[in-house]
Amino acid sequence: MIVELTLALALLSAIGITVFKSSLDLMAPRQWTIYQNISDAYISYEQAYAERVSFEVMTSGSSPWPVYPSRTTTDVEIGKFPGGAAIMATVIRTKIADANNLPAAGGNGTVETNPSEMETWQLQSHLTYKIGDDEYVKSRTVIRSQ
Amino acid sequence: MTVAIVVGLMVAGISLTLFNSQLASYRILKAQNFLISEAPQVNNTLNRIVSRANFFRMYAGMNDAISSENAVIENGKILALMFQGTDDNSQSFAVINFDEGNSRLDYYQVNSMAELAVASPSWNISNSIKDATFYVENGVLRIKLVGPNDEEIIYSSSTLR
Repeated sequence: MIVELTLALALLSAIGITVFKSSLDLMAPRQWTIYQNISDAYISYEQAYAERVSFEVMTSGSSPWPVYPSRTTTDVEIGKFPGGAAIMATVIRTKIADANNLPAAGGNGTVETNPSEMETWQLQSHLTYKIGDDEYVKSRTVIRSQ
Repeated sequence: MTVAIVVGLMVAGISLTLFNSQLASYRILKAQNFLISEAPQVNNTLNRIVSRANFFRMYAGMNDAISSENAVIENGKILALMFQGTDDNSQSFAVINFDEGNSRLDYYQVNSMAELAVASPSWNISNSIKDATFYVENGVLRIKLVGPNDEEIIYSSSTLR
């Protein structure tokens, strides 16, 4: 009797551990997928804003995208988990001048190489977030010219 | 005998714990469904529709939308998108409406906003939404959806320029 019960106990424990591990194995990639979906949705804002911001504001001293190597770093709430816990990430913005911009616009161009005084900027937004100990980065780059 | 009873109780206890943990896992997996299965499809649908529109307007309620009055830029519950045809007189409207009573996000295709009064939804974007809010931030249209378990996802999109 005791032998049978002990065997049943051992069998149940083994099944319990296996089931628990398979549940964890199933949940880890789902957690990753949730982060992917929420961060994909959020970073579309960075792209839309970079495409929409006026050239005047974008090139001003108080631009949301400062000239590289300066950058702005902002902690943002990108969404919420089931249950309402906030999902946080960090947005880093910077912009890089095209090499052919005139010196006043951060480039090395001259009136010979850039006679129309074209001004081109590369606006970069990087969204970083952590899942466990791993850090992930998603980037969007928008080219603006005038 | 005592040992047998104790071991028997342990077997029963472990069985119960196993059953409970299975139920808990199932509940967690079910709660994640909105963000995993529904959210990417909603994102895809909204982006395809909004990015093809010429411009948009938002309204707080259906009556305002029908009469095209009192447009808002925050806390909108109805999003009206205008599609310009090849000539100036051919316009059509796509309306995305959050139906709070039925927790649905519905899509209407109409030729004028007044048609909304009698229109039926052309299709249903999602039927498991607790809340939907349309607003504008820095000129960008943002759509905040709250799922059945208070999960939240924010989409952003812009129309044709």
